[in-house]
Amino acid sequence: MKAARIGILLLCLTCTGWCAQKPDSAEAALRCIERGYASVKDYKVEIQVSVESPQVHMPNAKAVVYFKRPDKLRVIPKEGFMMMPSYAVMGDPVGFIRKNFSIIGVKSAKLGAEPVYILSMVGKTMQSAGKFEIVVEKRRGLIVSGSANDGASKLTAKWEYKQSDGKFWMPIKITVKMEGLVAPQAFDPKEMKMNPPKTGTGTAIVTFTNYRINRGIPDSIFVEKKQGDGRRDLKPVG
Amino acid sequence: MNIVAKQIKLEIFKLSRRGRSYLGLTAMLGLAGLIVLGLAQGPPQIGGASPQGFATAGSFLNGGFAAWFMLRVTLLFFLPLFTCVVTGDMISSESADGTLRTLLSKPVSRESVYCAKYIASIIYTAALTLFMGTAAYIIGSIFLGRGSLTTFQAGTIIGAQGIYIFPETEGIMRLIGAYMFAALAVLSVGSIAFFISSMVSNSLGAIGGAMLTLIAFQIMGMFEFFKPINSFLFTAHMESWSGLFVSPIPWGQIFKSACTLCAYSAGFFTLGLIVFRRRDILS
Amino acid sequence: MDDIVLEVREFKKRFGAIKAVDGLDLEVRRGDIFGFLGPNGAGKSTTIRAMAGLVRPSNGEIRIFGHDVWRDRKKALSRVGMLVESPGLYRYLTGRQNLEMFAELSGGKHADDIKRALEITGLTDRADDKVKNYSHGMKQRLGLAQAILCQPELVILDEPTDGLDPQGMKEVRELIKNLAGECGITVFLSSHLLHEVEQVCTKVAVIHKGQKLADGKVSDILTKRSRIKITIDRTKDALTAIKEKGLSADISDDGCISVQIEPNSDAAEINSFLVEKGFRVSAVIPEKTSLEEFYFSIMGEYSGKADKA
Repeated sequence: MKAARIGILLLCLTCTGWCAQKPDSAEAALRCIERGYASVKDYKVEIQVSVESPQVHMPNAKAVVYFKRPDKLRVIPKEGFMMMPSYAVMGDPVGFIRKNFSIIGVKSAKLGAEPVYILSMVGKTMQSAGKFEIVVEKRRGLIVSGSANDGASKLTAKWEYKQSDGKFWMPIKITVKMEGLVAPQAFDPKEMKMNPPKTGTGTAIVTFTNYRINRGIPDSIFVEKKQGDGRRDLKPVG
Repeated sequence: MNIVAKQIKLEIFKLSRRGRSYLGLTAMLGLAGLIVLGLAQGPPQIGGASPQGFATAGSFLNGGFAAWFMLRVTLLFFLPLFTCVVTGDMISSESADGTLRTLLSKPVSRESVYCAKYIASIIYTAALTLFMGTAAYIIGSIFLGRGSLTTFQAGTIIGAQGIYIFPETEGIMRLIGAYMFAALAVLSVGSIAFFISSMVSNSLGAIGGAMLTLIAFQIMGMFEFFKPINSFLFTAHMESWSGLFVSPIPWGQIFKSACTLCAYSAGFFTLGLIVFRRRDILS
Repeated sequence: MDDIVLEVREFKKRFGAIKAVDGLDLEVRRGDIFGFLGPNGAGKSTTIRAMAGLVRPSNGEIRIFGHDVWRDRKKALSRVGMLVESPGLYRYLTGRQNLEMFAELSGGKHADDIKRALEITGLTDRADDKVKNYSHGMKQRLGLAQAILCQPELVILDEPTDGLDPQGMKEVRELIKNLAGECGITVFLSSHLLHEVEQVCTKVAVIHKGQKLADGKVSDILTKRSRIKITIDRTKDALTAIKEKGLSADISDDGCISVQIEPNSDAAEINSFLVEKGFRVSAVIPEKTSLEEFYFSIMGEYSGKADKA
């Protein structure tokens, strides 16, 4: 059981736009993202996830997310367990990208009037198999959209940001659309045969509220208790 | 107090004094402990791939899941077995011990004796089933914690697939409903044992007969050849409780299954009553 | 008719091809202590089970207090206490709990009735022990106790002294006499112990192979079958003379003549007859016939008829 920690919630706050000046290269793009995120040492945020999908049926779920540099991340669901879109909650995006993806292409483009990087990636691990693409706003060093395609299903995500504490650009909403989702096949005892695979589309929305940034978070928060030892932190510290 | 109500009270009193009444309760408590012990080490192999595009956070292993999982693994064998140990013993053991002779020499009708025993069997079945769920929930909550209820539907009679997550309170309500349905399902097997018990003096025969019927029907349900009659077998309806863990709940399907199970219970009750009324008590 | 508490009319019971009871008629009147005799397999237990509503008559009917046992069992059995074969008791309950349970089914649990039943059967001290720890005799007594709970008007007992020691048997005999005498309860009992039945019962019926062979008052039976022993000279001549008169007689082992008393004759008449015939009668002693002798003579007569047939 593990949260598939994917991607990075781009906390590129006060990217001064120097990213836009750099030539197109994977390293340049990653450094752009990194600098946009550099001023955030730690944060705590409350998230709410709503999902509509043929595979996952879940009421709106709430959780608290903690992040602390360099790569400590913990999601504590209010009800103990939740499903959420892959790549929605990220720790250090650059570190995550380096660990799980190989960047196969970088190009510059414009999204409206805004110059952006478009990074094409392929997954290195089983969990991150498939082709990925992320769009990074050069001016602020923020990931604004992304997509994933494993051949059978496709996932697209859009990020919305707002400035928190007057200086940090933090995501407030991620909208994920999923296509080609396949529910697991199963045996129907009435018809005495396998059910046909159920496919469909799904959406997931993650909203972020009550950011508390750079207030200090003890390392003990990130120590996950042993599976099933019976105690669940429903009242996070901080 | 009405004579049947009196007799029911006496039957429950007798049940409470018999060791074998507690066999099932003890076994269910032990099984609940075993299941929670296993869950504490990690999630069970439920089967099915993880949903694409989703990640998990937290742990779905809690008291609610333990109660759901307990029902899933015990409903088709263990729970009916321990129910039949009591219902299959209700009349046959009294016949063997000679107490049926004494009982029926009192100014009470055979119908009232039979009905009182059957109602006591229903009460025991319901108590055992609900005890099992409560034990699993409480032990699971103590050792695994509490929280939302996550269930995994593998496309049984309901035809639903995927992962369903319910807030804790809703999860508990659904679990209660599921256990009530399960009691109905188990009663249908217990009624077979009770019916056989009304004819024989050997409890083992009654218990074995009912369990054999259960297993035989389950096997029949696996073959294409028996497909035309499959929906008439009570075993095809025993797992309809899982419909309570999907949204929207297929009430029509669940109601139909409940009616089928009730029909089996009522049918075997009636058959047993006909036999019991006419039977010569020679033991 | 109001006096008849238990009536068996043309009762037949078949188990497959086997005729367990074949046309039995019995009448038990209020106040009787009725003994039901017969060898093993005669149909006694089947008849008693039918009285309890445990077996369904193939033919005929059994009525208790005017109510058909099979069709109207609640009314028929409401004033009856029974002990059918070995007592069926809940071994995992105490003696008291058993009685409380049966009392509830008989129309109400009265603490006084239970206390009385325990006292009468001598089980007060062991009432709160589990029945599984009782001896055979104690179980038998508890079976009797449940039969006399709730002050029945008719008590049906199947082998009530089975398993009891001589003291226990004596106590049961006294109990039965007491039930009938002081409490006015009618008793119907079956037993192998002819001596017991003779001491206790006022009426008997003998059944064999599902058929009644004889019934009647014990006193009448014994009187009808009584004999006198005559010490006389010229024993053989006297025997001839007695037989010519139509009386049944024979010479016993001690050389005396044993004469069967008929209803229309008595000892004085026979004495006068012999004296008139010139015989010297030294002594005329009544020989008491036992129920056992009666029983075996009945069985002997039945066997003789059966052989001839």
